[in-house]
Amino acid sequence: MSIHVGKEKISQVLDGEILEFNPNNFSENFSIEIEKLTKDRMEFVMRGIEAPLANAFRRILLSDIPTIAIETISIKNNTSVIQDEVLAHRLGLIPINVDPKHFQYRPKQPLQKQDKNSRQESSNATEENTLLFNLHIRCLKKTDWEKIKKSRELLLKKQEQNKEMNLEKDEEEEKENQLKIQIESGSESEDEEEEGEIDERAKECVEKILTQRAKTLINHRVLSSDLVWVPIGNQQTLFPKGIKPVLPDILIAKLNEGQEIDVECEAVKGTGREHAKWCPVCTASYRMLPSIKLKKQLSQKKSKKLVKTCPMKVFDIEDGLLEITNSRKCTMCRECLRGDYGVELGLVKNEFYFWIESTGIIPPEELFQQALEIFKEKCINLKNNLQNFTKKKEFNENEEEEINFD
Amino acid sequence: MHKSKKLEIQTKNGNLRNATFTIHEESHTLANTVRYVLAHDDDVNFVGYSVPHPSEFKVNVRVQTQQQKSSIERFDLALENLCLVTNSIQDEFKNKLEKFKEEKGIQKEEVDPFVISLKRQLRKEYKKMKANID
Repeated sequence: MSIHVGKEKISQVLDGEILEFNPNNFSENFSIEIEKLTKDRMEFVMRGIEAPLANAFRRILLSDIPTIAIETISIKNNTSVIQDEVLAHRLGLIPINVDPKHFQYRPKQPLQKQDKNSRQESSNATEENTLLFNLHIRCLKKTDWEKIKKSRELLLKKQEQNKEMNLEKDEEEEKENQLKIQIESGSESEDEEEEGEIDERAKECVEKILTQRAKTLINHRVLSSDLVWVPIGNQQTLFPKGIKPVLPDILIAKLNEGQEIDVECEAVKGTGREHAKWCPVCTASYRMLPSIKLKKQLSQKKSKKLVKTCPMKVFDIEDGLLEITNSRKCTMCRECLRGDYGVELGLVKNEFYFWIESTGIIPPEELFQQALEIFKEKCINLKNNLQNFTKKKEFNENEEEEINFD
Repeated sequence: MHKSKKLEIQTKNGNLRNATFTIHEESHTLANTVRYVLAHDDDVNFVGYSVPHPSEFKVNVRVQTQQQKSSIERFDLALENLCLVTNSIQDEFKNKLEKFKEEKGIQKEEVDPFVISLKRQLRKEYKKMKANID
């Protein structure tokens, strides 16, 4: 039941046992062992299943499970060095921590002539299929910011006096204050390390500039924590804790003094098949478990040599006998095949070591269960379509000849 | 946009023994699994699948069966078997997951805020209904 891995080629062992697929016996031979389960990563072993099924689950994990990500942005102001489309691309890739089952897909509008008054993409946007985010950041010198703070305090005092005297002014000043309140939400950043510098003097120069920048500017790094959720409709009651990105310190852009980013983002439900930003896993992968056999007995000297040659320390000498202790760690490097040790290396056809790394939106154990559900839905959907055919009997004419093996 | 066809079947002279199934909106994910199940079916002589062009999102599955067996029936049976198999995988996974969580002492999941607010609304409505009846 194994695939034979040789020095230069891999071959399938056809004589011997052929794995039968029997749906009635399936649960007897099938077993799962969960090896590791954390918030973001799950590793487990599936035995008694073959490659087509395992691969189907892996493909569904990558492409058919829906999530929510930013799809369209309205740019009110972007004076940063990052181009509009690059900024949009980066914003789309940020994972947003919200369960997509509360939302529906946004129906795609057919291409039509737009009216002057309507916004084309957003005319289908409702509270059930869209999330709004706001990103408004302006980079200022700290000294300037302190001046603005002081003047703001003065304005507030004036406003209080005006309220007492019942004078209505300062609508524009109020708006300015709101702007400043948003800007104030930026935090002081620390120094960063520049990567890949060879010259030490150059390193020092860059570090000086960066520390200077950090000391004299606020908001010069735009992080994913600066994305502010704007609830529409009854979303505030559905999500009382608020919606934010999975990680707060994803760097979106860097600003210098006087540069500003003012952007309104719409997040929409989608699948990985359409764009990788909607993929719920960093990666989902599997490998077949190795099968290692010792064909012949080796002398003490040779056994010690074999133990040394294996870089993953698969072999070990216990009680004077050569034994295979860590067969799971084998990476198929074939070092043990070089030299006459009599090792038979192979891959077990029906044992899969699966690992699922989630981006943090959906926990990995739930992801796998969703993948199984989606697979079942596909089969049932196709079955229903087949039954329609047996009723209607609308067949197309086939030009192909029958393929004969006689 | 109108919904396009999911499935088209091509046969020769209405002979149901040999048929080519053209499935839209599907890829290797489902086609390879169905081909694998049908390959282990004793009544099926030949089964194969292809993706005619990677830019087009459809697959062709060809099934040829023994004397007096309908290929559509075999295809249907294969899909049913796949559903049964995924059911057993789901059950096994659930059991092992619960066991693992018990062993490691992981606490139960937090309740969904969506569910909490729904329950609150339902409770309010129920109270109103009771008040109206009384």
